Amino acid sequence: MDKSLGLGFNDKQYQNLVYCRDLNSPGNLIEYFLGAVHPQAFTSCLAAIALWPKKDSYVLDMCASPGGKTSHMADLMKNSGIIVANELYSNRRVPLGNTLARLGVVNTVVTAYQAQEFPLKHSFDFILADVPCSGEGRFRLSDKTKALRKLRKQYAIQDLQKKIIVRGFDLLKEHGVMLYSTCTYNPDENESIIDFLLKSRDAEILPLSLGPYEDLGLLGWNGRHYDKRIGNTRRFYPHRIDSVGFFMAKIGRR
Amino acid sequence: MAEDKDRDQIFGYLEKRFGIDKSFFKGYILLKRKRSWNLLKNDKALVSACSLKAGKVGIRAFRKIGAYIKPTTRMIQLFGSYATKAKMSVDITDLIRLQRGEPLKTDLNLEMGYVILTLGRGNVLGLGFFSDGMIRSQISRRDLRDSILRSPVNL
Repeated sequence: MDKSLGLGFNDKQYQNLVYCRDLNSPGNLIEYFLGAVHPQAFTSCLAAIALWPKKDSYVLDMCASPGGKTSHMADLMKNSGIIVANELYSNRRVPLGNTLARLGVVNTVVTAYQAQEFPLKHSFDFILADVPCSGEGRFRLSDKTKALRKLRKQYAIQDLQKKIIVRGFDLLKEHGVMLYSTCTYNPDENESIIDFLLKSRDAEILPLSLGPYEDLGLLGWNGRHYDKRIGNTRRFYPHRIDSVGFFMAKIGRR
Repeated sequence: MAEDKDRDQIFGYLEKRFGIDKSFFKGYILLKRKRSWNLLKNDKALVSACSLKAGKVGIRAFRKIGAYIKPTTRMIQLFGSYATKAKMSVDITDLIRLQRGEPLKTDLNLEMGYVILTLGRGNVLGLGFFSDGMIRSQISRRDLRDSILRSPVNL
């Protein structure tokens, strides 16, 4: 274990992370049973750090299972405020509940709405939209993802992502902040979705700075040109960060 | 929400049995569900969240078992470090025996009831049940399974 992460990150924002290379079966550690640790891909940890919800805020995690990012946000909030951990599928709410309980998270309300139809009468200070995606960023880890990707293509995943990001934005309070993230490289699921939001809502893309291993969002793809503000989004490639590939956009509501 | 009577009974029990001051729970609400209670941090945002169809809130903290109110393992892991009594430190050998279902002999001067089990530097594992000079583990063998107990412990 390397407390400095071994990646040149010594910043205060990473202080609760321990970088473990080749750690087998972390679920068999007594620290895991005690709720002292939760294993996550490094880039997954970066999502909660990028959003960094403040103490006592009202937070929505639109697609919360298995709960690693929800718990990380609760930790950053010192278990204060309220996090609405939304997960549509009942079989995915089981690991979500287990993770929250094991890690002693006492500020969550678990709901089961379709993320894209979350009730509009609510407004949140912070929203995490870690949306369903084709999971290309996980190809190094599992062949199962390839099958999943094929399956998900049938369900027009990009349409779903567009609906979720717009609903998430509409659920933000004034000056609220949302993080849109995927574990895929496909610009159609990343920059294209952000471009769609910028065209349909008065959103702003806030700057993100998460260390030396990030790449800027693409400004064009397959002959299409995206809004220049998309340069503020970030891509993380496995060969650069030695973790799951990721995309993040920090979105503000004026 | 649980009635004041439930709060008094449950938090009063924690204070009497384990010495965990009632005041620790001032900022929490207790929600009753049939034979169990959930614990949730109280916050002004709950007013808004109340209108959501919630499946689960906070953590399941207590269960009614016969005449006893049993704090859950996760609840006691969270608040057990504030206990001043009815605590017992075990080593990994004792823990393996307990999780195999073997009782552990002890000379604790306590009434029959739950005891907080700790490991190493006060890491709260969960509860044991003390009766007739013996402790029996109340920690689920599914949660604290053999593969965990076989792993190196550096606590």
